[in-house]
Amino acid sequence: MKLFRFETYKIFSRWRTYISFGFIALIVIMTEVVMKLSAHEILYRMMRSFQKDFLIFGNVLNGWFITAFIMNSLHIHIPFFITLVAGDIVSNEATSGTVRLLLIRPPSRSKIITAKYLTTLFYTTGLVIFLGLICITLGLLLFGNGDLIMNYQTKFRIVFIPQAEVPLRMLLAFTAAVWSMTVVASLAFLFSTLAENSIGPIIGTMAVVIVFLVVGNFPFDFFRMLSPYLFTTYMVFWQRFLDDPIPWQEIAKSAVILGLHNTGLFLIAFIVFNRKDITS
Amino acid sequence: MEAYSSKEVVLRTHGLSKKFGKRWAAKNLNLEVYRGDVFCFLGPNGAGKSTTIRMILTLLTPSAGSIEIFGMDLHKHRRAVLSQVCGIVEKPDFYLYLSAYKNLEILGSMTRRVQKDEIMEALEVVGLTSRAFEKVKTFSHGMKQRLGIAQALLTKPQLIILDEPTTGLDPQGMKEVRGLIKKLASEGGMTVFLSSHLLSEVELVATRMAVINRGELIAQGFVSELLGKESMEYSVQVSPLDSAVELLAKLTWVEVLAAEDGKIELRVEPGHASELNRFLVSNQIEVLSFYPHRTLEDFFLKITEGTSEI
Amino acid sequence: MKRALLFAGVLFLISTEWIQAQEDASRYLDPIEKKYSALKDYIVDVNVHFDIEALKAPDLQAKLCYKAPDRMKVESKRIFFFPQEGGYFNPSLFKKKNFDIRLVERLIYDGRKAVRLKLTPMDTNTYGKSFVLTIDTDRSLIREIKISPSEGREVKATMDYGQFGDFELPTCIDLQLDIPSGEPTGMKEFTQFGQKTKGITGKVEITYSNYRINVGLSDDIFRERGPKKPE
Repeated sequence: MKLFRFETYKIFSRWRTYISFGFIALIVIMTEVVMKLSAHEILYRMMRSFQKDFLIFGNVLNGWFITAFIMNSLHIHIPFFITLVAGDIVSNEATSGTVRLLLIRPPSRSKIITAKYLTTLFYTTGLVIFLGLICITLGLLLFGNGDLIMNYQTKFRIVFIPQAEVPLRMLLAFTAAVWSMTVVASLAFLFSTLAENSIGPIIGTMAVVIVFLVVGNFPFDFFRMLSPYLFTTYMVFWQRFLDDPIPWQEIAKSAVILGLHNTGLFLIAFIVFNRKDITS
Repeated sequence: MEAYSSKEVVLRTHGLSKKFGKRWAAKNLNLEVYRGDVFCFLGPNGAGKSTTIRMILTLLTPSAGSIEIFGMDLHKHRRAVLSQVCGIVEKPDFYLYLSAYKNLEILGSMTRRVQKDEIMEALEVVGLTSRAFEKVKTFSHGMKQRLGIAQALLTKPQLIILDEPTTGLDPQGMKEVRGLIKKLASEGGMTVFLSSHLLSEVELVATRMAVINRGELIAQGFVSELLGKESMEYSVQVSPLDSAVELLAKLTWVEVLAAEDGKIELRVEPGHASELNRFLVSNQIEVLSFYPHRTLEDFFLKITEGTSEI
Repeated sequence: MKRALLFAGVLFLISTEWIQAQEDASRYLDPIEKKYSALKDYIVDVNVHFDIEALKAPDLQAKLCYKAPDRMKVESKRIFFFPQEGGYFNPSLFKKKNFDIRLVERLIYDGRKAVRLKLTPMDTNTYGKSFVLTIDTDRSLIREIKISPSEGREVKATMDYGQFGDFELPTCIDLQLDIPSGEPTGMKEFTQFGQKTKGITGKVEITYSNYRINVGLSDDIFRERGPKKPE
């Protein structure tokens, strides 16, 4: 616990950590303000096709809808902010030379690397929760409460979630979103263990995420075959908590696969770090 | 010297070796460091000193051999051993975005619980109390070196390992560090293991030494034994020069090699270095400076060519 | 000569029969128009049940306001979906003058005499859709409306009635939907509503209760029903 506390203190003593939070707040505020100003236009454009067949009344563009809308871009901007810290947490010790002071202390390398990993996960969780809190708080303030209308990207399908159910489902969705993002964090963490500077892990992680996302979305048979083996395919499983009925089996499968990724990535980092010769 | 046989061996290596690819950086090192020693590990750049120190401090995994500290195998009892050991490898680097105090708190607490007054005391010893709460990125190299020593002292270790501790320091800084090392051993009861490529440094601080070249142990023993048998060369600034040269020519244990511009180059037989200074002063010769000369290369050449009995 | 006269006579008979049939077709709307001529407005509580694969929603409740000839508004505290076509009762919709009306067939519907009329709009700009009405001629009630607005869409409404004051008004409208999905253009940037080429098929059951008839609704309450088009 002491090591975890120190690592957390170190991370949150650096101003770059707050860049992530600052930018997230900026993105959310800008998005929500623009959506507020352009509410009618947005709603018209989003509902145009559906309006041919149905009349729609009520506060569709409410805080929950906005939150879900912003969350849909979660896998685009959040990974970058995660890698800023996760990709730096181990490699920075080598860059700055502090690894020589750190690893001659009594705590084993296993404990040190585990503490760093837990800190990475803690930061990732904090970042996603911060996104959620700011989305929901500002969203409810600007757009009010109401039922949530969700659409599924893979089907022409609308899901209506009653207002009373939305908070719990959002909580579950954000928990799942945290879990998704921990895989990105684990990947960046592994790269950080392998490298001796931060740039490589950050760029490397983003490259992997982007390539996997692109490949996984190509509408060709060959890439569809690859899709189940890419962790990015499962990263959007948080959306399933906003479906009706909630596909628990599918959620469990995605969670397990992502968990296996986390375990594997951490184990590799663990082994590498323990065996590494510190020559810098 | 015989008393050493009853002294505790604090650090012992058996056949310690490290290979990087096909190159042996350290090969079959058998070192012994006794309690209270200021043990200097001497060798030119690239000899394997840092490699050896890094193996002792578990930064490198040995390719062969073992390390015992306080009678315990280092790798089996790592935590117990390292809780009584502290070290600085190359230059001390800290978390630049944290204050000196916070750095010491974090690093010290990884060994044992440290109190605020202990941290302040360590900073006071190295003269950094006034900068305790400033970020380390504002520190000079010398200040970081002193902070490094502070973190080494903080947990009151029994064995301190220093890798070229005076590198990058000005003469005043070097003198301060050397003084501190001696004090740690004599007053603090600590055993000091340091590496250096400066023979003069060895002569000024060390009690025992080992010589390493190309990864192999050349010699090990007391400084006085290893260096005392050798004549030392000195550069002495005196006034008046002519009178001094005339006086020195009469001594049998001194050979004047050169004399010009107020400076005399001398070769002095072992054991007479301190006598030389007294002789000049008692004969109304003003001694303005007194520098020993011995290159490591000369010393190594002599050792390796077998021109001196070790 | 005789043959020519015979041919002319047959032709005359057919044409008169045809003319009479057209006059008959439009006649079936007269009693309905008369029956509801006194209906100026109503407010009713609506419950909508969806049985559509493409729309997962619980039963939705709202209050529907209607004012003759064509004003409709829904009031709901929550989000409310309501079918564009056939979701509410508007007796003023089927004005004879607006449609070309043909008798399709006579039939027995639900044990009663009925006729099936096809209504094709005279002015497609105003009414872009055609209707097939099944009218219970005994009770002068529209029992079924089949709406084919455009682009292969088809909606069929089946109506049950109850007596509310002086009027027979729907207690339940069942809508069968078979609608292709909307065009995807202009919506790709909003991934939340990204569209694929799939249709909406299924059933919507709308039940009506607590009618308040001819309450004197003001025109002011009938605002825009949905999101505004951007200017």
